[in-house]
Amino acid sequence: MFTFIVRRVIQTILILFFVSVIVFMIMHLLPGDPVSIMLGDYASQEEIESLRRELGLDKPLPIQYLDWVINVLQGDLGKSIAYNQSVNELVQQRLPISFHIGSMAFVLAIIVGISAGIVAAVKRGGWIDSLITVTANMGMAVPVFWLGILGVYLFSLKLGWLPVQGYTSPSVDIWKSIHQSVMPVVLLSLVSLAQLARQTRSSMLEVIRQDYIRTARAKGLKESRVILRHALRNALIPVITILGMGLAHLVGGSVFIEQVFNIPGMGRLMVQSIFGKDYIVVQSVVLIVATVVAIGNLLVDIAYGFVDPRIRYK
Amino acid sequence: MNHLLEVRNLKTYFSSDGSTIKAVDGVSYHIDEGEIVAFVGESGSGKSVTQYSGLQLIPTPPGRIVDGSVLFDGDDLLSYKANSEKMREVRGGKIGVVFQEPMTSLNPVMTVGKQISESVMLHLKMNKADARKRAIELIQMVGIPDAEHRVDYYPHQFSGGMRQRIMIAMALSCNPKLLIADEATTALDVTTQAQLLEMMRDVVKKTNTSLILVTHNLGIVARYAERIYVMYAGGIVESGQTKEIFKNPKHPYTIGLMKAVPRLDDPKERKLLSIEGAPPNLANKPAHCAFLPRCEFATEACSRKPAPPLTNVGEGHAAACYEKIENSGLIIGNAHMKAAMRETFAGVAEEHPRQAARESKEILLKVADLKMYFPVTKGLLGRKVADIKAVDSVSFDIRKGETLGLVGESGCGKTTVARTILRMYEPTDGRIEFQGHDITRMSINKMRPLRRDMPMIFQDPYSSLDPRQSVGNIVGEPLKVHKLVKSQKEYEDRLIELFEMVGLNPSVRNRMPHEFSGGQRQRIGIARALASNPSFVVCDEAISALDVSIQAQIINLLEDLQKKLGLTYLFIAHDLSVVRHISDRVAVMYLGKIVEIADWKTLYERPMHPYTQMLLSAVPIPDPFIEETREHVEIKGEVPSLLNRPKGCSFSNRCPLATSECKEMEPPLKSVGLDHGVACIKV
Amino acid sequence: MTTESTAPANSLMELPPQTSSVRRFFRVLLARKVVVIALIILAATVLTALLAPFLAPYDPYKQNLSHSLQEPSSTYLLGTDMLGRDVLSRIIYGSRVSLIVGFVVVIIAGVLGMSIGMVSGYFGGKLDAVLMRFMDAVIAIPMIVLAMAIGAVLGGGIVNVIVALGLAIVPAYARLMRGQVLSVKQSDYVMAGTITGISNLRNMVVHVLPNCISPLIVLITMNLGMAILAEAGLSFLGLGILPPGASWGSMVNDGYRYLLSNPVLSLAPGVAIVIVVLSFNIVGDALRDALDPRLRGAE
Repeated sequence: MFTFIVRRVIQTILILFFVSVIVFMIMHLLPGDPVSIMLGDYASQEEIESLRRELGLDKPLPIQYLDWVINVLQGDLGKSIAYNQSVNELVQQRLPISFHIGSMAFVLAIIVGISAGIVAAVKRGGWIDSLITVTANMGMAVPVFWLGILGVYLFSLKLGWLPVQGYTSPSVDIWKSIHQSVMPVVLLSLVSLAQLARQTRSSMLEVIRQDYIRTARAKGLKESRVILRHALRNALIPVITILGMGLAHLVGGSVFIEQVFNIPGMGRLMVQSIFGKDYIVVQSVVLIVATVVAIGNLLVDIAYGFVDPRIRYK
Repeated sequence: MNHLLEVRNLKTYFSSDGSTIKAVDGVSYHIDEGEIVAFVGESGSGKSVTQYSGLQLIPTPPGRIVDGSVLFDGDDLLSYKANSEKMREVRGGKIGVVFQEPMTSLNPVMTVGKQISESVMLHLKMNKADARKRAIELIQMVGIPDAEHRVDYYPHQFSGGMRQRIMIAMALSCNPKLLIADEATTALDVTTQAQLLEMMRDVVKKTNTSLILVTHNLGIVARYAERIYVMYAGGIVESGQTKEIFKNPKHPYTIGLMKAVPRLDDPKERKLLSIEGAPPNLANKPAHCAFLPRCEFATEACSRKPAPPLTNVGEGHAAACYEKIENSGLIIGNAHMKAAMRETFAGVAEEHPRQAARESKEILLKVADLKMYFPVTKGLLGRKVADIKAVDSVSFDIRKGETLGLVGESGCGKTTVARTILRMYEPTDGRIEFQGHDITRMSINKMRPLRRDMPMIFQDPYSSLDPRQSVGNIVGEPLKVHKLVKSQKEYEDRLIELFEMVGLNPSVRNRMPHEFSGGQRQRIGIARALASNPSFVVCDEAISALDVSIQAQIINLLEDLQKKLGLTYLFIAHDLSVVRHISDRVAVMYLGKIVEIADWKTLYERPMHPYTQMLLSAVPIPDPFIEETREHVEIKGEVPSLLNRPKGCSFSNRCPLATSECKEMEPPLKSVGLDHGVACIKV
Repeated sequence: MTTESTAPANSLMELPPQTSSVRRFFRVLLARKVVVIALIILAATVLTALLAPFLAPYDPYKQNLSHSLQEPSSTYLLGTDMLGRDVLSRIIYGSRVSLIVGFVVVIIAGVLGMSIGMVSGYFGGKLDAVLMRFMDAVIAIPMIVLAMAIGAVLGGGIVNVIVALGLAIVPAYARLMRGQVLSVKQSDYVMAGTITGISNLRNMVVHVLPNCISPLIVLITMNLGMAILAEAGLSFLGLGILPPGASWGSMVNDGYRYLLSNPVLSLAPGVAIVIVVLSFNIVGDALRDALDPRLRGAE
């Protein structure tokens, strides 16, 4: 088990290395000169050259990469042109916000999604199964941003129950915070919820067909026990493996949700930086996002190692 | 008279794709307390579905019990709802089941102790602590050492044989009145099978539990069962006392089965009498006797009458047949032995000439000190910590026209030997010479032309044919690759020739593999192997996955082809009776080494190595009279894993002759007679 | 007693009538009404895209400021947007964008991804390890974020969107293909090929590849829906199709400001997206069932 964890950690580090290379390549190898774009059309040649030197863009690429990586590892992510703050500060402000909304959505998706999947599998073919399956299918076909807009239209403009936008930290005003975060959290969770429901359902159906379920029934156990104690634990194993993917979807979806609801999180930061040609910020945000997802995947894999005894005891 | 279990006119049907499959069509039987009864049949006979119907373990969307009653201890089980408390009390509490697949029948994420305790807590109302004690007791009872620790192990930490023992423990945990063993030992090694069956018999006799053995193996039936029900196409075709049925089988199917099964004590030249054709499609059962198309005793009248009912043909003996068959042509019991002995005496005179004949033939394949080790890596950096010595210094040769049989249990290395010879791997050490060429380390390109002469026939008819290619393309691929035909016409002609050679109508060559049955697919595999006109063919468990009646067909086909085309075979199998039938010489392998090699007669009649003796003793002969009088060698322990090889002689921890000397050195293969090698220092 | 072991007539008699696997495939595929409806919708969408100039009542790019922000009426079935352009016509033309982006992205990513997966799976070893870690890295960056980053540097426009999305979904194909190749490689029939003496290339192309395709077909169908959603998302953010192009996503964005007064502007294009993507997903699911080997033939 220990070797399993260590091996996964090393793999994750390798992945992060590749991520950094990819991010760097995107930012520096694609056509377009970031500096002149950053300074705008009216910059003089000298200003361009001086900024280029300042940012170290005149050095050969591999050196630029190394400089950047070394800086990152020391905690220096660069400076934002638009906000005139260090990227670190920006991230410190925004990451907790995204994390707040995101983690609540994640928990909601897991609880509701997995339960729905179990119910749909057990009551296969019935009306509840059809309802859940159809809803899950719809959930995966709906664009998150549109859902946000629809939600705003129904619940804010027409019904007036929830605010149109805005974010308040729970430590400042917990009721306002909840009021404002209900829609973003629920809508953000929907896509992952749908995915988890589908996967849980198909996984349960697969497991229920297995020989050891027949053995459990042959022992005379109550059907509820067969499902909950024998089938579920086995069915959850493949579901856990896709939790990592769900995490990536959540992070991606948060870009839209933050845009629609004007939440000052990492996603909104990225969008604004792209429009503001603030490439250093974009670079760092992508790196951080990927790191969060990679670490999330690592944790999921470790959890998987704990749940499946075949991994635990080799 | 009150039977423990009485089934009357049970009918279980399945709906599939719009049609109805009559899996069990009017079956009636009974079991009394303390009896051991066997249900014999091949796939599709309905023998398993029959057992599960009573327990209502049939999945009820596609399946449904249409008619009948299942009286257990007086109550009709079918009157209970499938998941009612009463039904569940019976399941596990009064009737225990052991399923076929040990690898998948235990929940992988629960310890075995918990899985046994669960049963006990439910049916015997024990608390957790007592249940755990009982679990440990049971695990000990089924012969698993170190029960106190192993009770907390997970299923994947046990071998197949041990998992099956745990299943048996679980099934017996609540002191049931009836134990159903559904092909419980089919997936296991011969020696493990013998051990488990002995254990089951001991336990049920001690506790006066009834035992139902569902099997297709007539040997097991002969050795253990007191009464038999023979099933075919969803119905019982014959029933009675074991000895009576073997002595005087009255139904053509029973007779056919017995003639088709090779026995350890057969006369050598006995041709296996296969049952032609295949079982009927259960969705389209004819109104007349289901066995009619394959029956050698059928008359014109049989096709006009409805399916024959079970009628009494003797005391406690019933058969579903209109014909009164007096002379089945079978020789059983002492008469069989006499016939075999006659053969032996006749054969003795031939022995020496046969040997001389052998020496004069050229050597086709020569293997010397072959070693194939696979590294075991551990830790992060993948450091090699040990070797799996799958093949550990194996030497033999095969002469032109011979068949060498290679037998052994799991882990013995016989499949690895075949694959190494065919250069699927590069040997770790040793030498392989084929047709005079040294192919031990030959490059892929140089090997290619030689591959024409060394094809392989695979075990699994379902995964050995590319599901996306037409069978014609599959068979013809060697022709294309080795450029053996010069025109499309030649190609087609050769394909037609090959299909006819293996008994298939050439017009089917454009069909896809999934349209054929298992036996037909094996024929296609054989046609593919013969396409390049080889001199040498490796048969890797070529018949193991087939039904008994189909096995005989394929064995006969292989033998005929050998005579016609002058082929040389390396025949790998774990079924000792089949190997004896088809081989000229036989080598027995254990944990990567050959422990004994000799001509078939010597090996089977005068085996010298203790393992060979143990192995032969473990194989049941389909003849209850012979079985009664046979001596049984006690089988100790299990086949160890290749990673845990005993020191010195790898058999020393289970051998009745072993002494401390045996643990010090690995015995070499020494000659004890004409072409007879034994790897043992005690003989 | 000898028996002739060759019995041509006998063996043929047991052969069931030739069940065309093609026929069976369609039978399972079209078993549910929903699937049939979805296929019809998809066909309709494709037709709409092809025949857009003939179907759209107005020119989607023509501005008519005096008629801006009109409610749905008999002249403008879905009303007009802030620049007076007919919403219905823009939605009809938007189907072109969605379908083109969807298909091209999936084809490019598919070909690229499958090749990587095939090579990785068949040859294994260090090549496999490195390629897969690289794929893992790409997957670690959420698709939208990656596409945004690429789009940010390349600029907007349909070509760049295709490139960005294409690169982002290559890993999914590579991983799936590799998994399939690994499992097919174990099959006896692949070993039989090697024993017969065929070359690695022939084995890969003739035996391994056709047997890996099924799950990939399902993935392709699902990804079509995903690609359309992603393009809509990018356009919504302003990073995808640039004005005056008519993309469903950008239409939603444009209309957001007028949500209270003219909700149709934002909501209608979204409905179009949902219908098309849902149809692709339903067909994808049905394809998975129809291609399931357990339901096919005597396997």
